[in-house]
Amino acid sequence: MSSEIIPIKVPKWGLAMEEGTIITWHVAEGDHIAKGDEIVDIESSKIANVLEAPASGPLRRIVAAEGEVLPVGALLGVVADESVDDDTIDAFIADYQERFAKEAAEAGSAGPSPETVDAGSLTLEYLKLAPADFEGGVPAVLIHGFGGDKNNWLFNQAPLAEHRATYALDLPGHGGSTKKVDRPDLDGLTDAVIAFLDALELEQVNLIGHSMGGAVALNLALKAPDRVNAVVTVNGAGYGTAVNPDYITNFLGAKKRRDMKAAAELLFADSALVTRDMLEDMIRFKRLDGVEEALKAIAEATLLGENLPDLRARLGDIKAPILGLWGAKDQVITVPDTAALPENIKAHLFDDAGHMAHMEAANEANEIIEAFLEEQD
Amino acid sequence: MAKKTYRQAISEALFHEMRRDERVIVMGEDVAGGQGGTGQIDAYGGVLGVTKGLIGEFGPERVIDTPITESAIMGAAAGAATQGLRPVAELMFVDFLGVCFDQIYNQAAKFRYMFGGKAVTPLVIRTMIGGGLRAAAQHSQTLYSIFTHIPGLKVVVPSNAYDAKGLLIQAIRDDDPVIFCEHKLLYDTEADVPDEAYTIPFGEAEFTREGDDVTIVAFSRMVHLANQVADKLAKDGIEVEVVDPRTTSPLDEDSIIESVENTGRLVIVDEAPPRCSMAGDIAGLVAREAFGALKAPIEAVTCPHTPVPFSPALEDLYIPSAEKIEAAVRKVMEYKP
Repeated sequence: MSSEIIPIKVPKWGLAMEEGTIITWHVAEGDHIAKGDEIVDIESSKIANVLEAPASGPLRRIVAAEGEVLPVGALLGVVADESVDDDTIDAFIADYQERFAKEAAEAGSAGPSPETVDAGSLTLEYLKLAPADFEGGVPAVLIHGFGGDKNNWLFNQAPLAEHRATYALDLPGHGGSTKKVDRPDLDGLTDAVIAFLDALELEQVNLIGHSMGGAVALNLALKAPDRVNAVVTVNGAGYGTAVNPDYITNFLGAKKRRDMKAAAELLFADSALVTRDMLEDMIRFKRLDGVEEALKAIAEATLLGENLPDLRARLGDIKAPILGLWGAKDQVITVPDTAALPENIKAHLFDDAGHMAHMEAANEANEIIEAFLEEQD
Repeated sequence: MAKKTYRQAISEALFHEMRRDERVIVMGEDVAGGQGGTGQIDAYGGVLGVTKGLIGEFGPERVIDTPITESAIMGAAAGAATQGLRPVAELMFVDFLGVCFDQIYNQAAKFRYMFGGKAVTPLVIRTMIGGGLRAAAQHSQTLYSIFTHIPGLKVVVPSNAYDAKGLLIQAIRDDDPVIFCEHKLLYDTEADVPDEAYTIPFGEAEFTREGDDVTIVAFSRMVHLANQVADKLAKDGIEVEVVDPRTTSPLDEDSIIESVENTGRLVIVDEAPPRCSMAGDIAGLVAREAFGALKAPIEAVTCPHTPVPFSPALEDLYIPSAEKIEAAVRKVMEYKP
């Protein structure tokens, strides 16, 4: 019997999230919930996701009602053993609410913020999240895909950072990094990540790459094998399967939110996940000086036609263990026949996810990635 | 991303473009500020502090304090533009356009046409519009429709800090004369504004709210009031779409028509007087192009056809308010033929 009272709080999904709307509770007050159970749907202005129970036990109180809009960190409910009496729980809630209101009034929402580093001729922006009180396992570097940025890992970086230092970077031409891209091909992008590792003095890392970032990770493991402890690809390019040219041309051509929607809906199995804010962010990114030229150059040099990297023949040469994750409903890159992959690649399919499998199947993906990385630590 | 004010956004756009292109110059009354005095150079930076800091970085050759002579400012700027510079000239209050209108509408606006496209006039005129500052009849008008009437001028009416920066950079890179209308009451409003330079194309409306019941087309500061009304009425189950055209010339007619074809109801909110105005222009457009879609007569919420009153009580009544906009929306919703 434990007398511990565990608060369930509004999570922070990504740097920009300040508040969340409570959509649907999947559990009722009094239910016994297990750690990892999906308990409540929450929507930020960017995206909707389901929150997992942080602990096991009876859900003694639900504090947040459906439809409420609450700041990050606000109390949603509490988990506590039956032995804890109601008065103690009420006192805990009252105390939490008072402290939360006071802290919110004093601090605002100052969290970790992105940093920049000079890596060769490029300035690269990245977000570092690390465990508060210990070093953790081998650090992980998260590499987004074409047209994405470090915020694509909003559901993944914080959970992974409970176990190791994590660096989500912006590739050249993307996010807050240098927009002028002199070497837009796969080797150029790979060398940029190597320069990033050098600049931050990261001797050996785990690479987690999505889509085009997956090809960068695999290529880096071939070019600099001693720098790579393990590779995770999420709907990665480089496995010799086709990229949907409609995605690239729609994305490159879109000037308005409405046009961008056609591209963005290809990213998800459930197109309802595409929000107005997500589209607005994509359009605003494309309006920045130099971005259109950079994206066009990268698309031509690394994604379209014959320039699409096919690393199949060399995957067997990669010394680091590889975990390949795929959303089975990917409409952007064809999912390869996982049975035919070389033996050093461990594959996992998420049946109900699309190209953004790390977002659509975030909780499951985080567990699989962390378990895989722990084996390699 | 950092929150920045409308004032900062405009200032950043000027810094970006002056660094990027040495042909860009700024000229106007007190745009340097503090010049000729014994105090620090750049004490102020224009009447509302927008050009503060420019003289320090770019010097008096590119940040030119002019005499109080609008005709000279606009004439010199138009001439400089034809000779290869890219001036950003300040017409402090739009109300002063009367003393320099020839330079704008009959000179700058006509050069490209009259010289068969062989001359370009990359001129930006920054000017303040709008009431609410208790500045009386001669410093409170909203006159963008007068510029919009003139072929050869482009007219920009940013409603927020993000748009202001992207549209001003676009204006400076544009090869035609652009009238850039800043609303006095918006200078301290904030939005997320990237540190980097970016452009927003002209003639592309922004949908600041999306809805299926009523379309509100609103300009400049009126967009904020329309948004408030949309948020309030959403609670009553009325879904209001708010269209901010961002530029009155060119005008994104397609977005307006498309929205009205979906909602069937239109309210136009314009801080200008009603005659020969954007409100009348858009009502005419929709009546011509989307008549069959209309479920109710078009409503316009505008100022009355009078000068802007000096009396604060009357000025508050004069400028379109959220209450008047809400009443207009309810009226078109409740209309029965």
